[in-house]
Amino acid sequence: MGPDWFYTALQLCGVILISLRPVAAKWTGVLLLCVSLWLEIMSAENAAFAAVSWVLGLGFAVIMAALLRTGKRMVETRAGILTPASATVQQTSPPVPQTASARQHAPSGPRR
Amino acid sequence: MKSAAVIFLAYVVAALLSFLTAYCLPLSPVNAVLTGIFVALVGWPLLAMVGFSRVRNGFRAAMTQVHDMAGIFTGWLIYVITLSGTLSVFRPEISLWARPELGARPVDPVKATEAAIGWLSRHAPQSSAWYITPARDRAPFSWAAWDQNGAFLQRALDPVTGSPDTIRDTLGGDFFYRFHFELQLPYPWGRLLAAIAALALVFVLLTGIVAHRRIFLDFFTFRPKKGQRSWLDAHNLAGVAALPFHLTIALTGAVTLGTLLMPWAGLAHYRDASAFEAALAPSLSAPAPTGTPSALAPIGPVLAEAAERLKTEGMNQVYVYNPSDSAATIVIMGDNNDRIAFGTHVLRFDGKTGKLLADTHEQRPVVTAFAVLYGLHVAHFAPLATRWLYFGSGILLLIVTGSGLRLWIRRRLRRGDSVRLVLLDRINAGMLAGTPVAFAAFFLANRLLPVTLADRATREVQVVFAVWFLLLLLAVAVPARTGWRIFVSLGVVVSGCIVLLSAPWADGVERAVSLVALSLAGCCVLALRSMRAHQDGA
Repeated sequence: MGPDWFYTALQLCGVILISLRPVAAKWTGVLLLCVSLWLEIMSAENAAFAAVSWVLGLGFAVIMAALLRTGKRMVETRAGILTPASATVQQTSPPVPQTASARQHAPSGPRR
Repeated sequence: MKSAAVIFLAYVVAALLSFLTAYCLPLSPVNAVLTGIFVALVGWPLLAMVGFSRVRNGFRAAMTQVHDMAGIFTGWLIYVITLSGTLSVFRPEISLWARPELGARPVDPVKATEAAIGWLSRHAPQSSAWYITPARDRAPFSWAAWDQNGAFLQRALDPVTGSPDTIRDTLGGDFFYRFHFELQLPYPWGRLLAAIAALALVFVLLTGIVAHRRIFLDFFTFRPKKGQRSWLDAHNLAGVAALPFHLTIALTGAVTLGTLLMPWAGLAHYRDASAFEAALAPSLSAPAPTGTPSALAPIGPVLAEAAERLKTEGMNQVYVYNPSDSAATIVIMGDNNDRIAFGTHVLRFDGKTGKLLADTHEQRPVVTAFAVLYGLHVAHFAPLATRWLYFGSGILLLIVTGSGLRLWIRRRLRRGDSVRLVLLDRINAGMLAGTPVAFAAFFLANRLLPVTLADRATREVQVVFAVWFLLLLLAVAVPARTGWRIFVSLGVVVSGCIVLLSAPWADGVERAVSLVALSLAGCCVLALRSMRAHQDGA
């Protein structure tokens, strides 16, 4: 467990905090991300390599955060804290199609 | 028709812009031309976006339509290029896996290259040039290419004896690497197609950001088991999470082939493309032969001096021009183990005397920027963890492309079947699920074809295309749902066979290939279970 793992953990924590609802948590997440980038660059022999690695790692941190959120929702739904319907509504309201082209990207409705 | 006109017009304007930029910029000719090419490569997609917004109503609606249109026309091409590119991240490792007789072992690049040149000087003295990739720990063999009697030959050479006889004839990871930008098509068609696909990807990504309204609001949203919505979530999530990588890899991919796609800037200062390329990398140029035979100087001291001068970056390529002529020249290109910029340090030796002629460090600013973009794309600099991140981000691009294609077709099929849509749906199953199976067939062919088979490397490639063709034929013949099930089941079988044919206990490379194959098999099993559950539910 070298310092690299610590920076990665910091990056993941930052992204998870950004995914939370309170604004304060989001800003703390941004701060953690900045700190993780700074630490990674300062400790690396080659700053450019560290920056590339950090940007790529950020993508996977976002996916991890999304999967954690999904897992939490599923557990809450199974435990009865959320009903399947309310879980969907609380996660995000589906986009309201305004135009024909926007309707193409709208989530599927019931089959007619 | 109108869309084609917009794309063509945008290209013409971008070409004009690139010419004017190269002509008017107060820089040296090479710097000005490269700047012109950058302007054209960024300008074409942006101008096309502006053009489409003019001919269609509403910016977002226009972007949504062209995102769909560009995606469906270039999606399959982008998918196969991405898949081969993702595998190319581990080109040396795949090459090593494909030659199990070598085994992972530390090698001395200087001694291995000396042995390779010794063998080439005995067996191909009349070649116009030898191109050698020195052995390194990741790929402990020299990879040599040379011309002989009009044919271009490529072989892996033993790091100790320099002979290819003890190593099986295979392209290994080089098959995926060359397919990534040549698509097994003759020059320049494959490269042109790859360049167009790269710029199309830039265009699709930019229009996608505009088209998916809630793309950043739904940043962390993935709703499983919800049919189309889950596919759209996967498409958006994978697209947004790795967006910087996807944009960078697409744009840098276009940059690597930029001179082919946008040659117009070069015309501002050079009479043709070869004159520009000679000015771009003068230290790599080949001298004309004199016709006077001459022996090559002892190569050991030359390589030792090169290794000393390239201590931190390593040796990337060794070119020996006119090896049997008095105009023999040895060019050694440094690798980029210590920086992102690729190919910016070149040594040039007199082949007859072994004397250093030039030690060139690239100083021209735009050429250096070009080298950085090139380096970002080929990722030679990347340490192991970053290579895995490149690999994973490539997989995410496959998810984005695959889910986008499926969403487009399923959405239209919901509105009503047509022969054209049903056929598209079937071919889509063949491309998305059949291509990985066909590529996996390369690994199986590598281990199953007899080692002594004549033209073995060609046969391996033929197996891939034969399997691919048969799978596409099958995809057209059966309903898409059945096709998906067959191909995913085949995915389990071929992945399992790769694991069985590997020797995971032998070394890290065998273990890693087995692990990736096992993961693929696991994903296929999950997909099969999901398909069965969906069928039971229906």
